[in-house]
Amino acid sequence: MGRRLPPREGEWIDRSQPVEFRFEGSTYRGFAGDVLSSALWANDVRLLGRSFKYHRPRGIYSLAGHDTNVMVENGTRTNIRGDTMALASGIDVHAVNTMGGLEHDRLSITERFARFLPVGFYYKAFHTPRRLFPFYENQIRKIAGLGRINVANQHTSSPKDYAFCDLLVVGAGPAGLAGAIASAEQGVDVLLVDEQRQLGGSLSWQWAGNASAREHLDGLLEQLASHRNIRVRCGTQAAGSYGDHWVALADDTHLTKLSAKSMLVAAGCFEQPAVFQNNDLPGVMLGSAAQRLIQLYAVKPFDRAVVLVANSDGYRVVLDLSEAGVDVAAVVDLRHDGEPTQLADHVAHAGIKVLHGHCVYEAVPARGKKRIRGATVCPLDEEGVPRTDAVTHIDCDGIAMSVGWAPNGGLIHQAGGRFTHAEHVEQLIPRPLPPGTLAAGRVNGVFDLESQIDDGYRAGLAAAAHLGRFTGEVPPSPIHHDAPPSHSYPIIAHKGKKNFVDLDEDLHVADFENAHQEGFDNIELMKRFSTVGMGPSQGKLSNINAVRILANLNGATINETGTTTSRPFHLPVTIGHLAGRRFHPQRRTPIDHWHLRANAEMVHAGAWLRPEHYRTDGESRDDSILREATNVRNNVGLIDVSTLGKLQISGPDSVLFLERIYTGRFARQQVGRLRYGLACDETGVIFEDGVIGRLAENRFYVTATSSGAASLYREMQRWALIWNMDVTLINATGHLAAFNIAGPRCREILQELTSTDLSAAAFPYLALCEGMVVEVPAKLMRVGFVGELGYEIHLSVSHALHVWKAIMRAGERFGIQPFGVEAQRLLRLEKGHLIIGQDTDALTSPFEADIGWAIGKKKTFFVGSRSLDILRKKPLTRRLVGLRFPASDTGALPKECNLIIAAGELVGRITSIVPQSTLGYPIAMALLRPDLAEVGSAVTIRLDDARLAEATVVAMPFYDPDNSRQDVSAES
Amino acid sequence: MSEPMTRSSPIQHLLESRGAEFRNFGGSSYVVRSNSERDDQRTLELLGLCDLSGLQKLGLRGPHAEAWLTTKGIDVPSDLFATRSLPDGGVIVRVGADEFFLEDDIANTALPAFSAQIDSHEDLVRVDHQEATFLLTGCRSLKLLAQTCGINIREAVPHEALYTRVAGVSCGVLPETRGDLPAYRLWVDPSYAVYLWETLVEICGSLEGGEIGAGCIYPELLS
Repeated sequence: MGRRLPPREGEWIDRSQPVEFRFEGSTYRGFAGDVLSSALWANDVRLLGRSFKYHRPRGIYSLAGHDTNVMVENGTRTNIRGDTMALASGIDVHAVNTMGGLEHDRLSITERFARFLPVGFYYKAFHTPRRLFPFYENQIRKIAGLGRINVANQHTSSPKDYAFCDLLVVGAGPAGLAGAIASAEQGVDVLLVDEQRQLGGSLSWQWAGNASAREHLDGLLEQLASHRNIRVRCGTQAAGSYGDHWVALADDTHLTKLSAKSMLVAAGCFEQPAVFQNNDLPGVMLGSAAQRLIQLYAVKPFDRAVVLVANSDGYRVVLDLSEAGVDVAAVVDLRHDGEPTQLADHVAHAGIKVLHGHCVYEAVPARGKKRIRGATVCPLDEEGVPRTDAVTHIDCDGIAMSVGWAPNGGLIHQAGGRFTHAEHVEQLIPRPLPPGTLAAGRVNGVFDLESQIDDGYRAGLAAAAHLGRFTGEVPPSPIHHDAPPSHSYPIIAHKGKKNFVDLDEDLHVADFENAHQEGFDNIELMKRFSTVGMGPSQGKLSNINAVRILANLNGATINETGTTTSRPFHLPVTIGHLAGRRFHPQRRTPIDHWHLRANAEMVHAGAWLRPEHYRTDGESRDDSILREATNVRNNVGLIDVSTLGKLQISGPDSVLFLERIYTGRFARQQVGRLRYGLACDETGVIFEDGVIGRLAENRFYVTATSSGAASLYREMQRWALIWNMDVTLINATGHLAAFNIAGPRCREILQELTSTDLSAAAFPYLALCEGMVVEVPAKLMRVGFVGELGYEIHLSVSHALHVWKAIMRAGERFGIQPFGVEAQRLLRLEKGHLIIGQDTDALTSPFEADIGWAIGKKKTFFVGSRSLDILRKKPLTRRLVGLRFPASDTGALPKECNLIIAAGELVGRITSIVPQSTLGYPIAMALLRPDLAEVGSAVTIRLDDARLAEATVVAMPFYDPDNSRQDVSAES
Repeated sequence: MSEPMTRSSPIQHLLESRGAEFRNFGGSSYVVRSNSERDDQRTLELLGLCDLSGLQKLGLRGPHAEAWLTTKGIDVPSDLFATRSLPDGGVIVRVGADEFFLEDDIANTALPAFSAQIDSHEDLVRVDHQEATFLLTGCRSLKLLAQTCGINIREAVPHEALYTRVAGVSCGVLPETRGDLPAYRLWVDPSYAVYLWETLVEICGSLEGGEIGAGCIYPELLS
């Protein structure tokens, strides 16, 4: 490992754990604790990736998680960033977005055509002919792309979880550590997160040639460890901030939804590159990247370096490089006045040449551009323009840049904070901050190390004060007094077009000038046209330079120019993390397992799982449904209707309450009797239906549709409060099972199991009683939803299976069969019973559904009554009618929701249809324009495939219009 | 309408299919030991999930409910969602201004008698309660709840019920302790019981926990 330095204090690598790995088919060695990029650099591999558009060679640039040109895939995952990918034994990765491998990427030919591929070229070049655009798009995506998703990869579950804290501290650098300690000292429950795998932030890598930073870190960590109310999560990104201090935390394994009562952002800054010709090639990197290589991974970044600086941090880089044995050929300082602090003396003392008021005009590539061999340096005039008449070449294999910073303020933006450009630091700083959100350290424009710690402590106290844990005086934030840490315009003019501003998208200075020339002179417009900041790093290394260029082109200030909007997630989160473990609650009836053993084909009905039909060998679905229905018509069937809503209503006002909720009358309803109940909303639209049974003077039992029970219950609760009624409402839906036994033999079977007299005289149609069924307390209701003699049995779920089995046993000799929801739908359709929500929609009135009879005459008030009074006087625009189709099975049949057409107009739609019925022909219900709804009229329905089907309007019900089946028994 | 004396759990068939060892006690059926290779007691301490749906339940509502319960010698909680122990074991929760939820102990001695008396009392409204009861135990139970519940259970007051959603389902959650171990009793609508049990078992597995028998909660089941 050629570039590995001797062991260093504070290094993150574990030299006792060597790791062998493969990259682009070659085998290398690194150490546990390395990231892929550091291990490759240690092996003197500098070509780590290719750029997005031109496929230019790229290497380490930030080593801070933003090197989006160094992305790899490992067969199962793709777009893994090399500067965050922890090295592990056996990993075998390849760079994304190459053709023929990284070293000999054939797509690098694209660069030769760069002059024909300016920003937005595809908008202009490929819009005609339109039919060819998919081809162009496909080719562009192949050339300019990232990794490919392995669709054959198995999904791995990534559970989300919730977490809570008083204060979330984002960033475990000097300010974050101090803030966490200060607030914890006041008793605040603190969660400290940092995206790095170890605590310390810049204290871990920005040493300026000596280990005093490490001493600060050790002191802070010691204090941190003494507080049990500080929880720490390293390797965790605070990836997005939402309202009420909800923050998304993402680590390697999962996403956490954190609810924090307050948030302290001490996430530091992103070091920003200088823009000069060939500033993207391997060997050109940020100063902080070089420092990370040295201090965290013990890797010597270069042998001979030129350091481009414009702040004190640049001099710290120089000292760190020098201490690591790098020959610093020159320090090129953009500032004419040079470094005002003692750091300049330290550098001078080391005998390093410093060029004030100079710039790196261009990086000189070695053959193949896979590394650099030198830097061209020249002085700047007073306007900052390079004097190309005085260029000097300096041999070097690396250029480190330290010219400025941009705040890592995405979370503050998302929390509602704003940023203002402050000239004393030449940086955006958060002003104002929303309540409960605090900022400290570099993100807050505080750079000096001692000041960062002070600012963190201040913010920690301010957070404690916000949380009511500190009542003392919070000190003011330190103010930066030294030279600005950022240069106001680190962009070196050059006639070439390889001076990159955005490495994600291969955007260079001329792209911005062209965009501006075309009228995209607003930062949001320029962003969308040029795509600056829209690559994987979301502009973390490019946005501020783009703003500077635009401000310069417009002759405006940074504040006048503004910035783009930061939205969650401002750091990448995998789709798998976002999906997480999915919860799909399903309701099951208490005899669900019996249905499965009986070969039920289950179907989702809202949240419920219900038997659609019961499979029999050799039988089609439609035949099974017809068999089950026919058995009900001729014999007896049993269906599990436990999904029905089941409400109990009691209290002195219960009658009045029901009369207001439903359209019908209940005052004179006898105890032991059922009535149909129809509920409308205030606009007169049908909302719900069911039966209302009177169990006692002031005690009712109400059923509702399976999908509408919860909303009906909520509405009832709402109205009971509004009307201030003395009623007790109980939703017993899940606690009670319900079965419907139906068919001419059902009375005989049920009578065997109950002492209740079920004779027609004692228990007539729409009777209700409480009794015992196989020694289980139950409510018995005589109903006729499927058009046959039938009883519903409602009982406790804990005894449901016992009763169901008893009925099935007792019914064996009568040929009882279970029937599913589809047979039930068929049977009720034959009987002309509508299903709310299927045969009605969000606009259907009782008059349209032909159930105006369910509205009580002379009722003064019920929900929707005023609207219905108005609707009653208006002509109908549609009516629910029955349709009959020819018995022949050769013609295609419509589906539910297919449209009815007349004279080229839409005149209705199918609401329910069955392809087979016990009547021998297909039937349907439809909402139809009234003038076409006369019995005997022919209608035409347009099918999905545009064919037309014919049907005839017939009277409903289709089956047993006299209701004579309610008195039928097998004996009669 | 009084409750008959036999009662089955809404997940009975699931537990039967896993070959667990059952025992009838107090009119209900319980899994005594799980069929897991793990030791139930160790699982209980780490992360255990126990089906206690056999515990009888009763709801009582109405303006006279509190007074009536007091006459029965029950220490009635005065605050919403507060709980008290029933005289012979079990728990009572105030779930509304004049509504109470009672769950019996495993011996099932208190509620059958109350139940019969309620039906003969016109001023009291009996509420059918057939919730499944799942007990979550062990030092990792909070981790499981963190993955399934959006409120801060860590801050929950012991023995004070809270009503929230667990794995997307409305649940009553009662924080309690089993010796030094945290435990959480979950009450869920029986129609969601299978879903919730299967979901919690899966998550328990990912946290190295699993199903446990009621025998390690109620040793009398083992005798």
